[in-house]
Order: sequence, then structure tokens, then C-alpha cells
Amino acid sequence: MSAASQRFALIAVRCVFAAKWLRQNVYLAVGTVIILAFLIAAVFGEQIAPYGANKQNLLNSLEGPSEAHWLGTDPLGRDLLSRVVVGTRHTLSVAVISVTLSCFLGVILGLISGFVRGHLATAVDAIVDVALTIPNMILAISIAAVMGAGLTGLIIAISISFTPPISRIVRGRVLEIREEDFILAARTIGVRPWRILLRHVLPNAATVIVIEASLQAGQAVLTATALGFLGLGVQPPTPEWGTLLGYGREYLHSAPFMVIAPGLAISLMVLGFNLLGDGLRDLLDPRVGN
Amino acid sequence: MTSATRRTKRILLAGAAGIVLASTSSLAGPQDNTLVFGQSQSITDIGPAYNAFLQYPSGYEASFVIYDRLVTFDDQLRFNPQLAESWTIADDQKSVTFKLRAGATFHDGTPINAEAIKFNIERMMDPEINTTNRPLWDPIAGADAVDDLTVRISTHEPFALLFNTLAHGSGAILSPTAIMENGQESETQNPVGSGPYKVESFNPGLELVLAPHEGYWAGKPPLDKVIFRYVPEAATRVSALRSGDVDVIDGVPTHLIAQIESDDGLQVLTSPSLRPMGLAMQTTVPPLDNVDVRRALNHAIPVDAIAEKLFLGQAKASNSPLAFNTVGYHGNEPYSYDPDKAREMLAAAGLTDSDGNGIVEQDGTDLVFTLLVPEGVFANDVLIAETAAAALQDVGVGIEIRKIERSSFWDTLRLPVAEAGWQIGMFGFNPSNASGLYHLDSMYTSNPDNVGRPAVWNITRYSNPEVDALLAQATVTVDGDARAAILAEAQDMIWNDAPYIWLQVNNIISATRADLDGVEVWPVIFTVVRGGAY
Repeated sequence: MSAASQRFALIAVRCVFAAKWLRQNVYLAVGTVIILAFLIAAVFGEQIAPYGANKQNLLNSLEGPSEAHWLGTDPLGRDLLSRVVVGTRHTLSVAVISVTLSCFLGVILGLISGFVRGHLATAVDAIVDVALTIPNMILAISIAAVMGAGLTGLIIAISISFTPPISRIVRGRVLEIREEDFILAARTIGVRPWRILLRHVLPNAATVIVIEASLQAGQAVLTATALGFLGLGVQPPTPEWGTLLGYGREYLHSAPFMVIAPGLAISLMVLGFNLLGDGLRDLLDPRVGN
Repeated sequence: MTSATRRTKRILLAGAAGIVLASTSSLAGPQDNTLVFGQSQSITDIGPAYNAFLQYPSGYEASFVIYDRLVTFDDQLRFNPQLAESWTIADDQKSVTFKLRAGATFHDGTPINAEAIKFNIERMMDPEINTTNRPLWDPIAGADAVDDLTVRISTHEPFALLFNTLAHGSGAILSPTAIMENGQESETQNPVGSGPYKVESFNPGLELVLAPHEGYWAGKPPLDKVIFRYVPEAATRVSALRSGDVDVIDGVPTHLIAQIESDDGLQVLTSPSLRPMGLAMQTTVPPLDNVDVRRALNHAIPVDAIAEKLFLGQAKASNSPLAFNTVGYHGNEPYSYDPDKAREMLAAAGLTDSDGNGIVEQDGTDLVFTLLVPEGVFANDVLIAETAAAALQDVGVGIEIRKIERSSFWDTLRLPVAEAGWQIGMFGFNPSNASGLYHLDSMYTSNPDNVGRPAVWNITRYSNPEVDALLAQATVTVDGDARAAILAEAQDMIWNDAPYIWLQVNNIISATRADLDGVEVWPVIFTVVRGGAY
């Protein structure tokens, strides 16, 4: 066999493997592509957007989708595509920051209640139990209403309302791990508890945390835009998706493209995070049959 | 309990009730002989005193159905008799004697006589009871019962606006028996008037149900029920009208007019309004204390474009502190839209952009104003704020928009200067007694304490002694032409002093079923369903 055909065979085999991997992990692949695209829009929003997000032109108000304005214009003649693209940064950063914060808090609380035990753990359990009885959305609305419209309020509201479920999931996993033989072995040879926690328990719980975080990110997008829709998001003229959707509602009959643009963006981002989460679970979680 | 906490409690209760009520279907339309009015604002108080008919304008709209007044307006704001049949003005012009309609009774059966009128007039003169609308009632000296059906109302000086006061919502006549039995404050929740419909049930903040007053002096009212229901979202109101859930709506957005007009079963009612919109500037806060800066900002806003594009022609750019149809209106030279001129004027006032970031500096720091705006209180409020912000930024004035929840909006406008947290705020005064003098007096007479809460609605803290003197003179000038001449002079001064960035006067737009007659849209922004019939 010639060197050229050997190389060709190798490439073919690789392609087959890549295709097989991709087929098995199609969720992960599609989710990653969607989120990467949004990430690029979030970082380079102003450069990508065809017009300034707040550039008004009253002469072009409420124009339907056209070659010049792919998703149409709003009542002030602002390009909806540009507003949606520039608005990506806001929604994505709210989702990522608040999920990171809630994971951080949730992991600490979960580790305490799952591993430490004692009065502190009982107290944490009780608080988490109570918090879990309040629906996420209601908790977030109440916190946002007290904090007022703005980025900080939004992030705090979502972080706090998302912490209890994460803490509960981490606790469950920790309770499993602490009964494993290798933990017993570590204890027997006198490894300090905090070292066991950091070196053995946490790495083993990391998988569920990562999967839960990516799924929660989708929820965070929905909560953030819902708060924006209710007028608790950001101050105008910031192009936030939920706020755009809220304004568009009044024009549902006369200019439906006002809600289609931000609505599509929200759906797509939630889909991206959910696919990513599902894909990660398929890939990482040994309990899911592959 | 303060009235504020009581109101909060009421609103919370109403919210809870709303969840229950929202799921039940309701009466509406000619088949039920019921008129349902879907209102853009909620009703929490329905008495003329103690804050007077909250919220605005929904409470006033209900009051015109529940109560009678001595005289009333028609939809052209002319005076018509209501409880009074006729009147004579004294030669010294300091009193008017009213002859009352015989046989009229309140909802509780109490006869309406001179004593009842005297009771109500004296009640509204009391600042402890009638806490708002003071400029309407302070000039009144008292009322005397001449005989059972004749009452004389006297004023301290000749009072040009006596009829405006009596026709105003706060001129409502209440049953003295009910007030004596139920307490002074009972009127806000459980009022007893003499209008064609009486209160059957009231869920503050949500729904007010009225039933016909069988003993109404003009005969049995035509409808079996009149229901006022709060429908905050404009698009939802229009949908509710189209589906027949409600029969009348107010606050129709201009872009939905075509949709309503295309439906043969519906009709649009419009009226030019008496409420000129503007952006109030805190004239005591530098650099807004400089009249040239205020004028410059007036040149920066494309008001004609706002009127044409955002209101689709249902608005006109202002050219006076008063709206075009207000009694006493006098037009001025409009501030042309000229951003270059605005930049030059700002530069001449020492406001230039030396660091090249597009925002002018004042004492070395970027000049950024907070622009206060409500959502859903004024037509296109947030869109106008965004347009104004972009236009002001274009001439180098930084703007941060602060959108505020509608229930706290009015109070935030009236905060003392140091606590206000805004320098520019959207506002439009509605002269609800149809008088240009009342309008100017409420908005531009100097405040006694110019950094505290404004006495009435002078939220710009505008203070010009010449204007004060002219308005004081107009109040005691009974001759209409002479008064108009004084008001014209005052309008010129105020217009040139520019305490506001003047915006547009937009039409009031309501809509009803086409088979419903008798609903009136008054230029004082009220939609009045008192005469409604199928």
C-alpha cells in the first residue's frame, strides 16, 4: 500500500470515528456551536451588528424585515437585528455570572449539608428546604422588585433563587460519595476531613455540578428575560431581550417582527444551553447509558 | 394607619382578588345591557376629598357617573346645569345664587336641598378634608341656604373660575346623611352620591360595579350595570374590546387605531387634549438654572418628528405652556429643531466637550442628567424619553433614563429637590376644570418653599415674580377678554423662560362598541360613560 493511500485510509478512519462520536454527541456539538456563536456575539456585538444598537431613525420606524434591516426596525427606527446582537452580552453575562455565583454558593451549602453534618448542616438543610418551596420565578421577582431594575439586582435575584436546587443536587452526590470505600480508606490513614473534601469528594461531584450548571444556565436566561419582560430588567435604552419582547407585545398585531427577533434569540440560547447540558450528561455521567 | 399604607393594603387585597376574578367570565354588551369600561389606570379611591379620586384619571371618570355636581361640562367644555336649574350672578361678582332642581335625591334617599349643598361646599373648603385641589377651593368664602332649594355661594374676591370649580370632579355633591353616619373618610370606598348609577361593589385597584339609581331625577337610567375594570396593558385592552369582554376602552395607542377602525362593530373616539406634555427641568439645579441652557435643550429635541412618527399625526408640537384648546391659550414662536444652534448655545453658556468623549463638561466632569419617566402613564412615554435622550446626547448632554413604576411616579415627581434623584422628568398637567388660569397657576406660581415639596405642581421650581403678579391679577379678573390678555402675557414669559423642554399635545384616543351611544371623550382627558346606552 502506498504512503498516500495509507494516509487516505487513516483520514477516512478518523472521519468515521469523528462522525460516530458526533452522532453519539450530536446534542453536545449543536449546543456548543450555538453557545459559541452567542459568545462571539456577546464579545464582538458592536463590531458584528450592522447598525448601532441605539441608532435612531424616526423616518424608518416599524419597517418590516428587508435587505437593509433583516429583522425589521422598532418604533424609533432602530435596527432590531443590531439590538438583538448587542443585547446578547447582557443576557449571556447575566446567565453565566448568576449561574457561577449560584454554583459557588450551592456547592458550599451542599458540601456542608452532605459532608459536615451536625447542627450547621441541619440549619442549612432547613433553609434550603424552605427556599425550595418557593418557586424560582416568584423568589426572583420579589428580590428584583426590592433591588430595583438593573444588572446587579438581576444577577443577585437569579443567583439566590438558583442556589437551593444546586445545593440539593450537590448534597445528594456528596452523600453517595462519602460512603465509598476510597473515602473510608482515606479516613483510615488519617487524611484530614477538609483534604478529603477537596481532593476526593469535590472532584467526584464535579460532573453533576457541570451538568447542572449548563442546564441551569438555560433557566437563568428564561428568568432574566422574564424579569426584563415584566419591566424589572434594565433601564432603557439598553437592548435587553426580555425588555424588547415586552415592548413588542403591544405591536403583536401591527408589527409581529418586534417580538419575533428577541423571541427567536431567547429560544435559541435556551436551546443551546439545554443541548449542551444534555450532551455533557451523555458524555460525562457514567449513570447514563451510552 | 397612614393613607399610604392603607392604600398599599388595599392594592394588595385587590391583587389577591384579581386572581380569583380574572378566571370568571363576566357580563358585557347589549345582551346583558351592561357597559364595561376597560381602564388604563386602576381606581383605588372614589371620593372627592382625601387625595381626590385615585388613580388618575380613572377615579375621576368613575366620579362623573356616581356623582352629580351643580353644573357640568359637555364634551366641548361648555357649562350645563346639573343639580342647579338656573343661577344668577351678583352685581359685585362675589356671589352666585343657584336655584336647585326639585325632587332630586341621593342614592340613600336623602333629598338634595340647599343644606346638602352648603354641607358639601363647606366640606371641600376645609383643607383637612380636601387635601388636594386647593387652588380651586381656596377662593371660596362660604355657602348659605337661602331657602330649601336656593343656595348662595360667595367668594372672597370676584372669582373668575367659580363655575370651573363647581363643574370639576371635586364639585361632587355627596349625601350628608351618609357622611354623618359612616364617617368623613367613608367617601373614598363607599360613597353615596346622586348620579345615575350607585355603587354596588368595589374592589379597589381592580373593579368597580355600579347599579342604576332608581330615583334618579332624569328618570331611570338605561343600563342595568356599569362596570369599571382595570386593564393595564394597551394591547390587552384592545383585544378585550375586540372580543366583547369590554365595551369601552381608553388609552388606545396610535398604532392600533387602524386595527380598531377596520372592525365595523367598533368605533374610535378622539379629542384634542388640554394636556401639553413636556420634560420638566429642575430650574434650581445648575446648569439648568441658566435660561440659555434650558432654551438650548429645547432646540435639541425633534418634537415635530415625535408628533408625526410616534403619534402618526395624532399630536402637534406645542407652542405655548397651554394646550391649543385651553381657554386663554396664546401661541408663541416655537423652538425650532436645530442641534447646531443648541450646541452653540451650550458652548456660549460654558458647556463644551474638551475631552472629546461626546459629552460636554461642567466644572471638569461630564454633564449627565437623570431623566425620570413612567411606563404606561402617558402615551408613548418611554419611547419619547428614548428619543429625547438620543437627541440630547447628540448635542452633548448625557442622559440616563430612569424608568419608574407607575404607582410611585407621581410622588417621585414631587420629592424635595435634594431627594428627587432626577433633574429632568416627564410631566403633563391636565387642567381638569378646563381653565388655562388654573393650569398656569398650578404649574408656574412660585412655591413658598422652593427646595421642598412643591405646593401644587410647580415641580420645576420655576419662580418669576412678574408671572406671579400676572396670575394673581388674572384670578380676580372676571372679564374673559381682559383675563385672556393677562394670561397671554404670562404665557409669553413662561415660554421664553423655558422651565420645560416643551413636547407635544397629543389627542386622547378611546374606543367603544359601535352600537354604544352617549360615551363622551372630554378634552380634559376623561372618557365619560355617564350617558352610555345601547
